[in-house]
Parts: sequence; structure tokens; C-alpha cells
Amino acid sequence: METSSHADSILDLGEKGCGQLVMEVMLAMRNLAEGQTLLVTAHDLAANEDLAAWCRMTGNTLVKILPDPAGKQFLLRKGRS
Amino acid sequence: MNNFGINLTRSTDDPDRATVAMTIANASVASGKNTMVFLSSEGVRLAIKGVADSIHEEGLQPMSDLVKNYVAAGGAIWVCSPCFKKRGYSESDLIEGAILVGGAKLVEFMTNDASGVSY
Repeated sequence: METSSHADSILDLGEKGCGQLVMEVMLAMRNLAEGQTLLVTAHDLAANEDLAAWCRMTGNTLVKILPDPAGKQFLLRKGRS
Repeated sequence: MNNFGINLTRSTDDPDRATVAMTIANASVASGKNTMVFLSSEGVRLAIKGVADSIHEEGLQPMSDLVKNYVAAGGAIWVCSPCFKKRGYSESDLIEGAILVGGAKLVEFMTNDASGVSY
């Protein structure tokens, strides 16, 4: 099972959502190289849909959604910039 | 890169609506879209120095953060020139990143395969 220890970087967004959520993900992904991964923890109820759409639009990959007791964790892989 | 335009006609008169509009603008620019916020009518006050600092709708991100992050990420802020002038402002009142435009500039942007929303 994937855990945070397998990600190149982690980002805990707490209850942040919508524009703030994707803005912070975008900024965090800037620091990664192609193929590296970012583990995002987000409790916002729309994070699932928003992160999937954001990845489709930006050429990144939503690798998987991991269960988390307090919310959800999303493993993203950086695509070609 | 696709164009995405957000027409915003509110500011201090409707902090809820104005904040949601700028939240969507942040989502758009962070998603790699060529994003433009067109401030018209009361919306132009958002482009005045210090006004964003006065708007923090409960439960939403502070307006000052939204504007700062949006501009830093490359988002454009276009201010309706006649709306701006009729309220007695001058160009030195504008925040960094905002420019005055007329209707033709907006029409050019929106007819160049743009999508948009209005608040």
C-alpha cells in the first residue's frame, strides 16, 4: 500500500478548498521534477472532483486516492511542464 | 492555453459574491488557463489600493490573499475604464497588475475561444 513515505513531497491542505486548494497544489508541484510525486491531504468535500479535473487540465496524473481517517489523501504525479 | 474570463460587478457592496468570483479566478489560473478578471460597475473598487484588504467574508479566503496570489500566478485584472472614471479614481489608485481597458479589449479576449462566468 502506498504511504506518504513513498511521495517525494507532501502537502496538508486541511479544510482548504476550491481556488485555494488548486493554487497551493500548483505551487507545490512547481518544486517537483517530471515524474516526482506529491501526496496531498485534503478534507474538503469537493477535493476529489477538483483534483481530478486539475490533473486533467494541467497534464499531471492523479495516481490514486488513499483512505485517511480525517479526510483523503491524493497521490499526484507531475507530468511534463 | 484556453482563455477564461470572469466578469465581476461587485466588491465591497457584495463581499460574498466578489470573494467567490476571485476564488474561481484562482482556480482557473492555477489550472493553467489564460485567465482574465474583468472588473466593471462596483467591481472596479477591487482594483483600488487597499480595498481588497477590507474584504474578508466569513468562511472564505481573505480577498487580499486571493488578489495577491492570482496576480502572482499570472492572472490578469482588467478594469472597465468608464466605470473607473465615473467613480472619480485616477490611474495612480490602481493596484499592481491591474490595467484600464475598454470594451474592445474585452470583446477581443472573449471572442478568442474564451469561456467565462459572471458574478
